Amino acid sequence: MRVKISRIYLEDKTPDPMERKDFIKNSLGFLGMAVAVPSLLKTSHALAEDDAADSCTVSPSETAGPFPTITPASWIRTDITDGRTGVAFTININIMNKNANCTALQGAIVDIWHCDKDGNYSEYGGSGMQPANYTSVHFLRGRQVTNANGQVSFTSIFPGWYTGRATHIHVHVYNTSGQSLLITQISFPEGANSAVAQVSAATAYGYTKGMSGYTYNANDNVFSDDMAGAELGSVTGTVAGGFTLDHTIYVNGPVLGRNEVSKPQYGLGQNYPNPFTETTVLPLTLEYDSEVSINIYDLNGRQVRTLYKGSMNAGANNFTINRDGLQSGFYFCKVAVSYGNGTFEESKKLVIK
Amino acid sequence: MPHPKIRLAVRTVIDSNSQNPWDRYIFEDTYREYLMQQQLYNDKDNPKNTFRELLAENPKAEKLHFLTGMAAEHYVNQLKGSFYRITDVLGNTFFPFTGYRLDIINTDITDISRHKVGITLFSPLLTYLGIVNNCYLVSFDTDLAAGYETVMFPVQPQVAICYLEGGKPDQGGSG
Repeated sequence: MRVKISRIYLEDKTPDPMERKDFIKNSLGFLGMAVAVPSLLKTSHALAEDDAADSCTVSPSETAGPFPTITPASWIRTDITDGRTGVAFTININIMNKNANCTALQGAIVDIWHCDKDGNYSEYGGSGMQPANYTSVHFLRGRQVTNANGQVSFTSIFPGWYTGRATHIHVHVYNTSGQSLLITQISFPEGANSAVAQVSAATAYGYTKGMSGYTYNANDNVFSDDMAGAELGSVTGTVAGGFTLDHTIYVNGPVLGRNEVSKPQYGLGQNYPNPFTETTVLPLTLEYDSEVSINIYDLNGRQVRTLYKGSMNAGANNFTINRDGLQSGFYFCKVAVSYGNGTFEESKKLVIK
Repeated sequence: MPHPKIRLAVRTVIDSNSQNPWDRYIFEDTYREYLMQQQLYNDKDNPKNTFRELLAENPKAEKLHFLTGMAAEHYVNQLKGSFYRITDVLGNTFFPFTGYRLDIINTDITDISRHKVGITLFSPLLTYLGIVNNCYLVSFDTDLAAGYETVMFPVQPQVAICYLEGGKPDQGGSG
């Protein structure tokens, strides 16, 4: 009989054939839209607010700003503890691609989340706030992108447990474009000397429940049908020294031989430094020798500079951009790469001080 | 008699018409995050395009407010606890905040121009001393004292008292 628990987020799902939709593009797609240039980025006096555009007003210490800088996906981090205490825990996950002879899948996005030592998730109750001081909480949630070996690793604390569920970690694997490949959970080994048993008894680390009332994997409504132990992680270590979980997950990743434009090895990084005053470096990694054009557009979509038009070698290219008389402000740097039959484009925001 | 303590909240709506770079970064990043996270709740073969349809179909999708909101965290943190668009009457103190919450007004996985979110910023606990000249008269000093250094934030749309402890608001006004 299924036990109804309000805290279960998702069921285990078997992998589905991959769809062809490509959600996530890095290019802005805003170049066609009329965007008002912020009237002044540096100001020494307060400007009146009006409805159409926001102006910078002077900060209490009379310095310029704020300059928001673009940051990639905010989940991405190795240490996901956010101040939660417990037994030290390292989570290592390998993602393997069933559609590529079960070899490592590089560039996959892996999200994990789990409860703290008391069995609570960040955002339980639908508010995401610490009621006492109204600070936002996102503890024990994180994202990583797999390396060439298909690996991600997180620093966390050993999860607790809550009524109705065995100890578990939620995992969501996406391909490079953000399309979901698999939503699953990781179960933990059980037994008298298992990590779960040892940690549940570790009152010195704040785990107060012991194993009384614990739901074991055989009775857990997600894991009870996992006869082959495909969801079972392997855990080693000690309470004092911390535990490590190692687990391999198989997904239906990209099929070998498809020449898609969003190859994992291609990469256009954010230029650094950004904002910049005189020069900045734009890192561009190419899968193959390609024809590349790099141009700068202002916020109205007008091309203001032609930086480069020619061939570039496969591999890492660090392209230096000079200010070249451009006014302070916001621009887009659009990179167009041609190889074989395809051309694709990507844009990054540039801020000149 | 101790004064009541309140928290103020300010909410700003971000949509495809937002011009400010901070708004734009949040707009794009939360949309991308929504595209990823909605896969947890949406049907794979026949997905609901808009958030409101998805929520009507699957009430658990209510978690998407929080999950999508995580994408805004870095940008909110860059403000370092001061929301520069709301100043006090003197013009040199910005609206202070300790936390934020994102709510999805609506969005569409096929159309980014329909993406519309609200960000609510919550102030720290403030001593509430009443409404003076249509301004919230508050103090950052929450200990009981004979006198307080105060700050006046104009009463305005999108700013509200979101938390109250220790008495009714009109108790402070008659002091």
